[in-house]
Amino acid sequence: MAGFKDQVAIIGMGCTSFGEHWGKDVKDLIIDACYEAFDDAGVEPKQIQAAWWSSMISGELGRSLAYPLKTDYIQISRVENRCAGGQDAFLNACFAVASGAYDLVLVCGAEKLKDSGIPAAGMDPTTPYTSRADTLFVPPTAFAQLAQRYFHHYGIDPVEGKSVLARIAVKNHHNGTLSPKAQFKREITIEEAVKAPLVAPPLGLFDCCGISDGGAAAIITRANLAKKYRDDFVLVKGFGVSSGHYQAQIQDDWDLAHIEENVRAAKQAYAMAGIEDPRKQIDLAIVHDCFTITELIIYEDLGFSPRGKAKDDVIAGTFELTGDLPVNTDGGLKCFGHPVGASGLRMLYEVYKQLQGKAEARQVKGARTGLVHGLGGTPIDSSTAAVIIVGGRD
Amino acid sequence: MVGIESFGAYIPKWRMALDLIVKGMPGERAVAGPDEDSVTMAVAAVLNCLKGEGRSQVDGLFFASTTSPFSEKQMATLISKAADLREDIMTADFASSLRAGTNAILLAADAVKAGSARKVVVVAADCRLGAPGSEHERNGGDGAAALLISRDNVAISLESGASVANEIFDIWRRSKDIFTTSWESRFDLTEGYMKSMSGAIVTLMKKTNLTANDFAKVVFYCPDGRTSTTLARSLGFDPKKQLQNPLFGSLGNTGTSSPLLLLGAALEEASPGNNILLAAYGSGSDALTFKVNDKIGQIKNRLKVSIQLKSKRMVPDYFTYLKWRGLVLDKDIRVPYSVTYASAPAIFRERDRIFPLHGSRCRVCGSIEYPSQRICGKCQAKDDFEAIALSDKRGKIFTSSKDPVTGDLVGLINFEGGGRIFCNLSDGDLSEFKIDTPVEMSFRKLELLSSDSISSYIWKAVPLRS
Repeated sequence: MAGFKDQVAIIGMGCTSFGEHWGKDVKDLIIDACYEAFDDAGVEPKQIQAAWWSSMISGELGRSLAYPLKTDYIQISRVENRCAGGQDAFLNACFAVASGAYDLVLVCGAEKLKDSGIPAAGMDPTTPYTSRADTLFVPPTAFAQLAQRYFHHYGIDPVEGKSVLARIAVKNHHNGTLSPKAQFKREITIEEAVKAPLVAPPLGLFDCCGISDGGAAAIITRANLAKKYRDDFVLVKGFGVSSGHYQAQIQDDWDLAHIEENVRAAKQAYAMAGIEDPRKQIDLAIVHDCFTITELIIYEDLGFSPRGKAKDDVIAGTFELTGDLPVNTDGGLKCFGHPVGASGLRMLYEVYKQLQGKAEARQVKGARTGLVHGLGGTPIDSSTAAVIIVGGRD
Repeated sequence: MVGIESFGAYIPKWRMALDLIVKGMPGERAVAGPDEDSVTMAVAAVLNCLKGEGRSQVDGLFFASTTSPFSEKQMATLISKAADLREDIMTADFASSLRAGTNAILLAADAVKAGSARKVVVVAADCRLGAPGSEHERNGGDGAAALLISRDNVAISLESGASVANEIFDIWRRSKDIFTTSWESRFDLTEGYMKSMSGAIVTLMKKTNLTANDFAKVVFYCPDGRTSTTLARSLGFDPKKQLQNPLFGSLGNTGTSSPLLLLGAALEEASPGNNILLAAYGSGSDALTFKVNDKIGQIKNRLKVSIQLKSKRMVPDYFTYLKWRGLVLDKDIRVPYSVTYASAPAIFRERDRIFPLHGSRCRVCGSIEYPSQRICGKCQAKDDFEAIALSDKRGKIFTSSKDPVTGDLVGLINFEGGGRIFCNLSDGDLSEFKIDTPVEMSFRKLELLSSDSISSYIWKAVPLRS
């Protein structure tokens, strides 16, 4: 596989606050995110040569981005890969820049979930079926089954398991209090998390991320052009994307105690970025904590913790802001909520700011290499996982 | 010799204490669960009836019910599909009268006798809905029974039959009505039930030269707890010794399926050589005489009426019952965008997956997969698989949870002998579906949106019944 390292630079980013934006529609979220990115990069909107747009339900076609921004008949491509859509749109834009087809490209992800009146971000019933004679479920139900299986697989008592998951929620809630743009900015306790009402047993309220509206954007260029725009640009070091084929359902020996898509995406990204020991070489990671159990399993899937041992690292505080490998320094999906198509770029925004030393109270000292991870789909059907590794200039 | 080769009953697991309807009233009635209807109960009865029986010689399936979920759309086709019967068979729905079940038995027997069918399945099912608070609601019950009518290997021969037609408005339900209406009970019972039943039974006894003493058991459709005793006595039977207990207070009057279920209960105690009289009522009467032979032992260990009566769960409260029956307004669940309405072509295209629960077995690596995969998930062989029916396979819970939006239980099941399904779980609480719990499959309805115009059906996993 040809290398991709250090060919594309991020020169500007923007991100709206995430939450219940009753007063804003998706066009407002797009404009607010993109104009922050234009200002950050110091470019005029009309300089943008092409754009990639990520959304699950907030607008089909390139026109969904063109209409609010009033772009001038440029190429705009929509990418849909559910919760990994933001990462994937970013990568497709990177491909266009690295190929030399364009010099200056915009990526925007935005999602308006709170107009639907639906208490869940997505339901996974129909694909690949269309008859609707199928079992219907929302994501918490899928990840709850993963949690039950993970505890069973490693002989973890469910009560202990719940308290380990609670620690992840407590950590992310603490980080959320330091994030001005987060939906939830409130400390919680382990007891509060463990005793919260059940959503899908064994997962309770604080094991689940919120549902919010939000938008985020990035402006990218080829690495050799980046200096024109700023000194502290951020380079793409590697990426990996992997899609499963319903193994958990159709293969009767599938363990459902890990997410193979994560493993494969990380492996590809690490090889490209030259990472041999992720726990040592990565300074911070923003991962897809749609549920606490997801974050726990991601620690193992991405090689931060040995299999079955993530709980020891959680208890040791490894992934806290002051730990060896801070994860979800901004509070994660737990505190930002999860406007599906926007989340990937929100995650990248946090890493971008951290690498520039602009993460204020959340700043990870000396952060040089950051990881962004997204996971669309569920472990019960199948997922697309995306891992992007970015780093500062050498 | 034409008669019954096999029998299968289905009594839903749910019971409603009559005390929930009238404070202090003893007893209970069987109630179909929220995901059950006459069709799902019929499928369960047919599968119990055909367990271990060859299906290739079944040339017909007759479905008898006054509570088919569709006024226009044959349900015998759907039931025979779910039971994995051939497609080149005669199917028919018998409706509009509580003796539709015996109508179907008599005509099935004639078809077999005439040689136009080798074996015919007759299944009767009803979900008896009484107006809230009414006697009809208290006396009613939900259930199904199936018989395999054939010429060979018969365990109970059908000796003779007689029918009476009686045009009378005693009990009726117009197409637009939800509940049945009846005239004054004195009139109904005298000019309706007693007159028609006696007429058919007396004719039959004359025809067969049998007297009351010749019968080990008489099985009557019973409109209430008393009148059938009066009828039996008037015909010279000893109600205590000979009349089959109508199961009021435990099962209730299950309508079309009632005479067949009561026949099943009677067969549990029958011995070779016994004569059994069966009589059903509804705008007239059908009376049938059966003779039990020594093959009765072969079908006695079927899932019995008595065992199913004991295997039960109580409906928690009356409001829950009303919700299940759609008698209180329940708004549509708000479902996210990707859940659209059921599609008729998609259901048609996937009928082998949806109704008889076929998965695929890879001819190259042997991997069993559900839904059927054209490309094997394990070895990637293309279009090299055979269908495998999973509906009669038992399995174990691999993982489970409860969905917060639909409120339904879901889980992954690993089948004995291989294969896995992601499906809903029913007839139990989440605590009854822990990892490694054994389960079996049950055909249920799937109604998410009350605005749907197509009823979908789906296989779910349920705790073992026996």
